[in-house]
Amino acid sequence: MKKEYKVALQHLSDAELAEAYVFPNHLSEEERHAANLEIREVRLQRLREMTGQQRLHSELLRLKFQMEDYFQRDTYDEIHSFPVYLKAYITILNKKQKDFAEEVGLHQTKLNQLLTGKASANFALFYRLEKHSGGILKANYWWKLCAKKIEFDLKTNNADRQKEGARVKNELVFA
Amino acid sequence: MPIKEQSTQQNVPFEIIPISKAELAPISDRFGFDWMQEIRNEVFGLQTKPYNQIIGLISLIDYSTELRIEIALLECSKENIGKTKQYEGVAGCLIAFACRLSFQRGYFGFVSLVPKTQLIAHYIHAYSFSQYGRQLAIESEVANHLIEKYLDNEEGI
Repeated sequence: MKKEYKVALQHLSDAELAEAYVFPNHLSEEERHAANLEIREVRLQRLREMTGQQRLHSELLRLKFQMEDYFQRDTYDEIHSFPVYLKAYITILNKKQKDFAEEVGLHQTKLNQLLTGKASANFALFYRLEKHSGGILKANYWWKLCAKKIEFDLKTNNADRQKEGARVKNELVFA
Repeated sequence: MPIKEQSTQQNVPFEIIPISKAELAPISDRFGFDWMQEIRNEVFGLQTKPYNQIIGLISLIDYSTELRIEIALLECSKENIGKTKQYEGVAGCLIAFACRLSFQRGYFGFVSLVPKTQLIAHYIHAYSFSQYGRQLAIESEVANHLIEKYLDNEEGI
């Protein structure tokens, strides 16, 4: 560490240091090895003790964060579409589609159409998915997945743009 | 609690991004440690928006076989240390980011660090770490609480 910093740090309280730093450890190789073994043992023990509920919770959070990262991007990506996430959700739950459809009040055919992109989800389903996921996957997250697809279609569907444009009269024209 | 400007108590938008060696060079005078040495690990920076000022750095080691991420080093920029700091919550956001990354990698939010002895109580109090021998760690529900406290970006969605 730079000398001037070392001097400045001497005037800070422990609380202030903890609010600004995690210092590099200066353990000897032997100490470091022992510390690594300690935490490794703890880690493996914790993994063994994890309940199915805890694993499920973590998996859902992973899905949630994946959605959030996608929302930060400006682009639409098919691999982050509503059907893909719905399928991922059902897979995480390890449920049969028939059982899942029943739990969220859908006909199995409708669920199948949603999963293949042949039907669109509505607000009612977004709310049900939020409730079903214990509030982890919020209704607006599911909506946003669909909204990104709609935005992409609006931007890229030139056939409909031309077709609908042909119905417009007296359009504004600027030089 | 996102990043707050201490003088106004206003929330400040920010993002946490991977930092390359080239990006470290121009900011090295605002940090006390030699961050070039951390490039062997994964380095991320917290930058305020819209001015893209890096105000905190974190160096992470991925122990994939143990499903854990270790915080090797974390440092706030010199304007953000002590009573006169410009922004509050920088370290909390960076630690929460490490937890989020741990969930994303399928490590169940497990993040560890080797603390200085005199700071152990503060890390436990401020971030709810648990002590395991020489190390501190956080995981699962507690890690998620930290993420909700520091990184909940629902407003931004």
